[in-house]
This record gives sequence, structure tokens and C-alpha cells, in this order.
Amino acid sequence: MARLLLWALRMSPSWKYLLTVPLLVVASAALHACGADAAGGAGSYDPEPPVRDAAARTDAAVDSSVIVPPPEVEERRTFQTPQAGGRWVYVANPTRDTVAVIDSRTLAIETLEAGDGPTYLATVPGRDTALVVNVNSNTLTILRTTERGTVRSNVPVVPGANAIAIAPDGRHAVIYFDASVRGATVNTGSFQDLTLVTLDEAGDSAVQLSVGFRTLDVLFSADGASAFVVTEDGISILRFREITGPTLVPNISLEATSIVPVTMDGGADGSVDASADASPDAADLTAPARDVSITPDGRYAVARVEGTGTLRLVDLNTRAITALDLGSAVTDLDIAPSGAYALAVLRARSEVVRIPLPMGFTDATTLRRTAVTGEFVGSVTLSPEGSRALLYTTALPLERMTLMDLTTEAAPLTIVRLRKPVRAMAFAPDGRTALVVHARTPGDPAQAGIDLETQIDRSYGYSLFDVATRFAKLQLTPAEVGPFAIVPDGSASFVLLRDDARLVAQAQRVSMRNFVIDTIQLGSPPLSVGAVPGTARAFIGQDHPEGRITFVDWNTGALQSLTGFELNSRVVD
Amino acid sequence: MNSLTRRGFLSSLAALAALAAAPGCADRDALLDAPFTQLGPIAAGQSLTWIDTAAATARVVDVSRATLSTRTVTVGLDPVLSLARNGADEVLVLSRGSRGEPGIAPTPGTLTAIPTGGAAARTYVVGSPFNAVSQTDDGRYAVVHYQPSGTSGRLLFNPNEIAIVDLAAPPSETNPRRRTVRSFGGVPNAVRFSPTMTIQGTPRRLAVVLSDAYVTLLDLTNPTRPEITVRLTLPEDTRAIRPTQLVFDPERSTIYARAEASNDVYALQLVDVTTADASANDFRPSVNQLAAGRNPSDMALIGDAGARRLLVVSPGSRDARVIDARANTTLTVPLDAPANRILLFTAGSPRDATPTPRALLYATGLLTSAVSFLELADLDTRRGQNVETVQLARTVNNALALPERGALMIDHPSTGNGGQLSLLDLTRRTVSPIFAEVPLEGARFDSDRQRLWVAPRGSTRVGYITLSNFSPGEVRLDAPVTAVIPLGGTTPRVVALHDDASGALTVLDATEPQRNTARSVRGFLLASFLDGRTP
Repeated sequence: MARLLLWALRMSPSWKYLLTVPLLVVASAALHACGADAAGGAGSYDPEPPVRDAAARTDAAVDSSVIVPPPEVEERRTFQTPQAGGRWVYVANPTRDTVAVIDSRTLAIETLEAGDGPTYLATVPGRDTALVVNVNSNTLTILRTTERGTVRSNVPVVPGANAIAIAPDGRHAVIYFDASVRGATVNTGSFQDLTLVTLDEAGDSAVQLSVGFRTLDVLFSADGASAFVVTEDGISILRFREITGPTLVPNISLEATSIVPVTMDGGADGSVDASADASPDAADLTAPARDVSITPDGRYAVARVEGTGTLRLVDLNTRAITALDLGSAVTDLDIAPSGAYALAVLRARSEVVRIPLPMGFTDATTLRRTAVTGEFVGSVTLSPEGSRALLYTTALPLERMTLMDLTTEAAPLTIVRLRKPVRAMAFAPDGRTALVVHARTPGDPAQAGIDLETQIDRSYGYSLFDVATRFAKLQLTPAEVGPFAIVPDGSASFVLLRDDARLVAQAQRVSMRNFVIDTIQLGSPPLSVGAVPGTARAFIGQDHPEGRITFVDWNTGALQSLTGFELNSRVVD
Repeated sequence: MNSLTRRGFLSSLAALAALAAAPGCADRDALLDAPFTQLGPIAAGQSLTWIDTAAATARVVDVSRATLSTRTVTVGLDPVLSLARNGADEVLVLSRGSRGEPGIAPTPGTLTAIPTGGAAARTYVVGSPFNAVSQTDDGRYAVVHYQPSGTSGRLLFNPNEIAIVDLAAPPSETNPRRRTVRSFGGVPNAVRFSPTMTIQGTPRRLAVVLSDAYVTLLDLTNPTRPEITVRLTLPEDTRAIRPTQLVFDPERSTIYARAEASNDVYALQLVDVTTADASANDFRPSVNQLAAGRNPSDMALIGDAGARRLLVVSPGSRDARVIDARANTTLTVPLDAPANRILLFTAGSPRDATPTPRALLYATGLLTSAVSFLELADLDTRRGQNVETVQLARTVNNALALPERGALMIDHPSTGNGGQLSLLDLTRRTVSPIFAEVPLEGARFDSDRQRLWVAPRGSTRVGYITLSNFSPGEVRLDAPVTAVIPLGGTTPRVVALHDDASGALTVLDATEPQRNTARSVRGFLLASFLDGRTP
């Protein structure tokens, strides 16, 4: 189990945006930790992030030789129900075996029977098609909605399935068991089964496949022709055109490797106590890959192992594995949206390495190293178009981040001062702005006698960052920053705030153009947020016994709420 | 009401005519011993109609002529309810029929429509022994049903059975149309009717049956289509949700329902649906719940169609809530006094003489004697600034807007010393009390609200207030009055009823009520009294 907990996964940046920005449109972020280990366990979120000592907060350059920081914590995006298609929003109701289909334009509701226990629901990005796993009947209901109504079909899926991955072209979906899903239970059976569903209005079909042990993630090639099932054993490649029936899909192991040493000229100067981040023996072939990304063309997979400086490049056509030892632990790795290069962060050296793919794994001279002198960075977030990167750390209470310009060879850096430490961040889909969620120090911000800085440190909040002007605006919030969404054109974002004890139930509509924030008082605590691109509205799912959802026009702020849509399933005609 | 029986009446005649009133013939007609029980009178046009329940006859008394004319119309057996048909000079009589007795064949329940002008009555066979009638505002449709606590007097009965009657059409095999509304264990508490709604681009009238925890929609325009049942609670919800008030928004094809024990107002938006089946409903209600404070007690639509909102007040609350039903957003307006009733009107105010939509928020049954004026314009920005509180001398029983008078008449609860009205000037917000030495429970406005009439039971005087100048007056009559009934028409009249089982009334000219122009008549209920079976 300890090994399981050490595993965590995230998509490569290119796939994040392929899947979330143009298609699902928003970054609906449910904040929970992915980095796992010391920070609180996989799939959980520590509401008091690792800001151990307010006194450690500093605006000065960081001497990382003194500090032994914990691992970086990357918050993974997850999508919660309701889920939006192009115009309709789908809400599963497991207790009533129904799915409510809500027209975001008219707020009309169509409540349809699904299978037994419809629980896990996902939509085909950009389309009014939803897939919902019926956990009690081991079936998948596919709903296709048009002006004429919703058409349903059902296919069988593997028992225990609780996750849905849909190819970018919407023609295939992989249904599998994800142990990291909250509430996931391990039943008898296999961890190595999944269902490949072919989505076809003329007739949906499903086929069961056997893959490596425990599916960690499912990624797709940009053309939607292949899926890459990342398991503890490696990667199982599903070439959809070649799969005609139930079959065994062999793994490409990430562990059988021949290390290609790379000369580390221009490396760290030794001023950093890198014991925590020191690269282990490059010949340790038993260390599991922790973080796997796939290039958009599906040609290569790049993997890193937490705590080591070794990266592995897997040619998914030839199965050839090439390793690259960067000499210091890689604390974060992102692949550019184009797939042309990867960015690796060596926190112990405060260094960012740009690795051309695949050339960088065989020719060290192609590596571009950028020292972030005087800063302490362990994480990187690339803008959707790949022109900028933000470097930061979630391990220490540093109120700064670094903007890296990737459009030039020199990759100039700009230090951005923040007012609070970074917990998570996301670029807007247009790359012009970013939303930074902050950590806080323990304590009551309203305590009498404390100074303004302490009040700010103890408060929840987020910052808005304008890339062009380097302007940052801090917004303190009355409750922890919950899920947020940035609309597809990047013009607005929605941040959910919930504190039941303090009766805080709000959504903040943020203009990403002028950073003006409009607070929306909600009738019930917010649960989830997403965008409905077809009607330029965001939806906010709320905690209400009979179901409540609020639609917000992201251009005008006009509100429409729907409550009691569970009752609609009880209308008898 | 009456202790008279036909046999007693005949006995009296026998004493005079030396007729033997032999007691207790074994096979005599039971009608002779039946109490002379009357339903009514029901005012329709220039007529009053009484129903002789034992004889199953209606007596229509036309008071428009110098000499009263009386007409007798046969109705169904066991009449239990009579009422005026809306929008027409007709009286509706609901009869339960007979289950059959020795010598009496079973007969079905009927609804008889009696035109008071003299045209032939129409009898609609509703079949079952119903005991309640609801009708549309224009009197086009009636739904006949059972009261929740009603019994049928039959071995078995279905409390969810109803009959839909198209009163504008003659009786036929399909008129009435009988059906059983779907039930979740409840029975109809009441039936409400929508104004003309637009569904699928066509005008529709709906009947809404109110039952505990659900409502049922019936498309009156397409009566063969199935009803639509909308639950107001989930099955696991144990609250006794009882819908009590409906507000219709025809422009948005939306029905708002307020229910006891619910803090939400339910919005039922009627959404067009496409169906190839002509027998299926082509719309479906989409349910939304609007948070409305604690125990909302009254609601009203405000604003025009483009900015329609719901104004809600709740007992015990010191605020009014303005709900944007589309956004489900609530604007709270604090009040100085609690309110549980809403009265909308258009008038000026002390600050602005321009007539604009306003609301009076008042409380009945509460201890407060203050009312709140709420200006509906610019509420979002002005909120509490739009509220003006006016203190009354006493608590409020009821209120009636008299917009043509620029006033509001408030009825205060009667005391042992008599009743009291207050005239609230809507523009100046001043209050003028009008004292009465008698209770005002029976006070009635005439049809065009020129006068308010009061006839204290036992008094020989009829009082009135002329609403154009709020000048009171009274007319002395020859006999004690039991009730006063205004009649509409081109020549408005007021009928004062006297306590006489044989029928006694005095007709007054409503526009110039004077003793010397009043006409009294007695005994008209005895006309045709002995028609039909004889002992």
C-alpha cells in the first residue's frame, strides 16, 4: 500500500489543455493533493497547507541550503457532477437511478432513467453527450441530447468501474476502476480490467480488455486514434482500429531501461544541500515511474520518479526506453502543448531544464538550462499555448513566483511578488492571465490586535495575474477557495467559496480582463462549477436535498437558478 | 333555516278547509314529511334562486319586474350545492342523485345549469354523488369533485374521481368527461383554473387540482389527454406539504404554488415538448423551488412581463421578499410590522402623485395594527426606503382596494360594540374611520362598488356607505332583515331578505335607496309548493 501511496499521476500540460480547455472548456478545479506522500495522502487535501512557520515567509532570496523542504504538492483537477455538454448539463442521481438533463438556455429539465445506480458521469467535450456508469448494474448509459430530446443506450462495463476517460474526438471512451477516486472501494475481481466503448449513434458497443495492474490514468493521442493506459506495470496502448474484441493488451514497461548517462556540465554549484532532492543511483531500476506524460502525437511517453533525477523516454512505437539523468531530483515535469519539449524543474538547484523531445535524451548539448537564481522553485505550470511558464513552490511559504518567457532562447525570467504563498495555480485558456490559489497560516484572521500582514497570512485568498503587465491582484476570501473554473475564452473565471459553519455560500465571478470581482450569494453551499460553452454560462452545482443549480451568464452576470430538479423526476405524465 | 314541512303546511290548510290530515299513512310520499330545506338564495342577474332540496326543484325569482315572477325548475335528486355561474346569468345546482329506494329508481348525480332569464335548463350527468364544484373565472368550465372530508352515501366511492363540464356546450356523451386523477394517496383539496396560457403557440386553459404534497394539471382544452401530476416533496420527506395558493404568469407560462409547511414557493414552468402522439401532452412542467422565507403566506406577481418577480410575505416575519423566479435571487425588504397579506394597487403617494404600482402589506389574525405601503419601483436600490408604515386604530380583518376612489377600505374585526371600517387614502396615506353600531360581517358591496351595504341580522334597517363621498345612509324596512344581496345589471338593485320560511324580501333601488321606492313580497317560495306528488 505504501507503494501505492507513492504513486501519483498527472497529465502532461499538453493533454491538460487538449482535454480541458478547448473541449471541456474550463478548468473546473477541485482542490486536492496529488503529490501525496507527506502532505496528506493521495486523493486528499490538507486545508492547512505546509506553511509551517509564518516567520519563514520571506521576500528575500532563498538560501535553500538551509531549508529541507517537503515535496512539491500539485493539486489535480477533477471534474465533479454536474457535467456540461455544449448546451445541456447532466446531473446523475444514484439514489433514483435517473439523470437530470438541464437545458442551460431554457432551464427546462428532462429527467431520464439510467441504469441501476448512475454515479460517475462525464460528458463528451463540446458535445451534448454524456456517459454515466451505473455502479449497481455494471453498465454504462450513453445519453445524447438534441432539441428533440435525449436518446439513451446502454452497454456493459467492467464491475467496479468508477472512472471515464473520453478520447478528444469523442468516438471512444475507456471505463475503468480508479483507486484514487474518493470513496473507491476494492471489491473482489481484477484491477486489470477495463472497458473500451465505441461511441456511435448508430449503435454503441463495448469490449472488455485486460491491461497492466491498476490503471492510474488514461491518456489519448491528439487524433483520438489511440489511448494510453498508464498502470503500475507500465503503459498499455490501445490502438482502437486494431481492437475488434476482448483481448489482452501487453504493457510497455517503464522500468526496463538502459540508462544513457548525460554529462551534467553547467550543473549546480554545490551551494544547495540537496540531500532531500539528491538524485539516487541512476542505476536503480526498481524505482517506479511516478509521473507519466504522453506527447500529443502519441509517439513518446516521458516519465519521472519522485526524488530522483532520472527521466525516461519511451518510444511507444518501438518500446525503446531511454533514460536521462539530470543529476538532481526532478520535482516537476511538464510537456509543452506542442510536444516539442519538456520542462523539468530541479528544485535543489533552482534550475529549469528545457529538454527537446526526443533529441534531449540522446544529445545533452540540446538541453537548455536556466538557473532561477536567488529563487526557490519546484513546480512549473505552462501556459496553454506554451509561450510562458510560471515557476513556484508549494513546499515553502514563499510569496513569490517566477514568470519564464519561452518564446526566446534566452528564456528571460521575471520575479513576481505575491502577498501570500502559492498553493495551486492555473493559466486561463488564452494564456493571458492566471489564477493563483494561496495557502494560509493557521489562526483567526479576525483576531484582535494582529497586524495587517498577519491578517492576510491567516486569510484564505487567491491572486489574479496578468501576464503582459505582470500585475497581480490579491483577493482575500471569507472561506477556503474551492473549485474554480475559467471560461473558454479566458474572459472570466468563477471561484466557489463555502464555509457551512460561517454560512458562507458564495461564488465569485472574476473578470479576467480587469480583475473586477462580483460576489454572488448562493442559496445553498456550492459544490461544483463548470462552463456551458453553447450558452456562455457557467453552472454552479449546490448542496440541496432536492437539487439546486445556478447558471451565470459569464458576460453579463445574469443569474438563473433551478432548485428541486429532483422533483422533476417525479412528474408523472 | 325552515321548520316548515309540506304535511304541516297541508295540515294548516286542512284546518281551514276541513281536510283530514290523517297522520302516518304507510305508503304516503316521503316528500310530505321531508323538511322544507332550502339552498340559497343564489344571486344571478336580476334573479334570486332557492333550491328546495327535498323536492329537487329550483325556484327562480325575478326581481327586475314590478311584479315578481317565479319559475320552478326541476333539478337532480338530492341537490347539495348551488352557486352562480361566473360570467353568465345562470345558477348551477349540483345534485348527488339517488342510490335507489323502494319506488325510486337510482339516478345519477347531475349538474344543472339554470339560465335565470327563462331559457331551458341544461342537465349534465356527472354520474357520481359529488359534493363540490369549481369553475373557471369566465364560467366556461366546471370541475365537479369530492370535498376531502366528504362522503358519498354509497357503499363505495372514488374520492379522486372528477367530472369536467364544458358549460358552454350542451350535455352530450363526452360532456361531462369523467376521469380519475392520479393520486399519491391524497384526495383533491381544491381545484384552481388558469387564465389562458400559451402552450405550443396555442391558447390553453388548465385546471390544477390541489392535493396534499402534489398538484395535478389537466389540459381543459384537450380533456382527453392524461393529467400531469407534480410532486412537491420527495417520498422520504415527511412534511405535510399542502398547496394552498396558485399564481399564474401567462406570459411566462408559469404557475407558482404556495404550500403550507413549505418555506419554498414552487415554480412550474410549462415547457413545450414535441410528441407525435396526439393523445399525449405536448407540454411538461419544469419544477423549480424558490426560497421564500419562513412559512410564506401570500404571494403576488409584480412587474411587467419582462421583469416579472414574485412578492412574498410570511407571518411573523418583518420583511417582504421579492424573488426573481428566473434567477432564484431574493431581495429582502425590511418592514416595521409583520404582514401576511398582499394587496396590489396603483396610486400616487404623498411624495409622488404619479400613479404607480404599489403594494399594501398587512396582517390578518395578528396583533399588529400597522400596515406597510411598499412602492414597487426601484426596489432593488431603495429597499427599506420604499416602505411607509401607517398605524391603524385596530387590527385588520380584510381590505379591499377601491382604486377608482383612490382609497382602500379596511375591515376591522367586530367587537361587542359593533364594527369598524377604515378608509385609507392611498395617495395621502390618511385613515378615516367609519364606525358602525352593528357588526359588519355581512356587509356587501354592490356589483359596481358604488355602495357598501350592511344589514345587521334582526334589524329593520339596511345601511350603506356611498363610496363616491363616503357618505353613510340607511333605509328603514318593515321587517327584520337577515341578509342583504346586491344584484348587478343595468338597473342595480339590492334585495333585503326577511326571516320567513315562505319567502319574504324587499327590493331596493341600489342607486337611490329609498323606502318609498322599495317593494316587498312574501310567500313566493310557496309557489308550486304542492306541485308533484300528493299524499
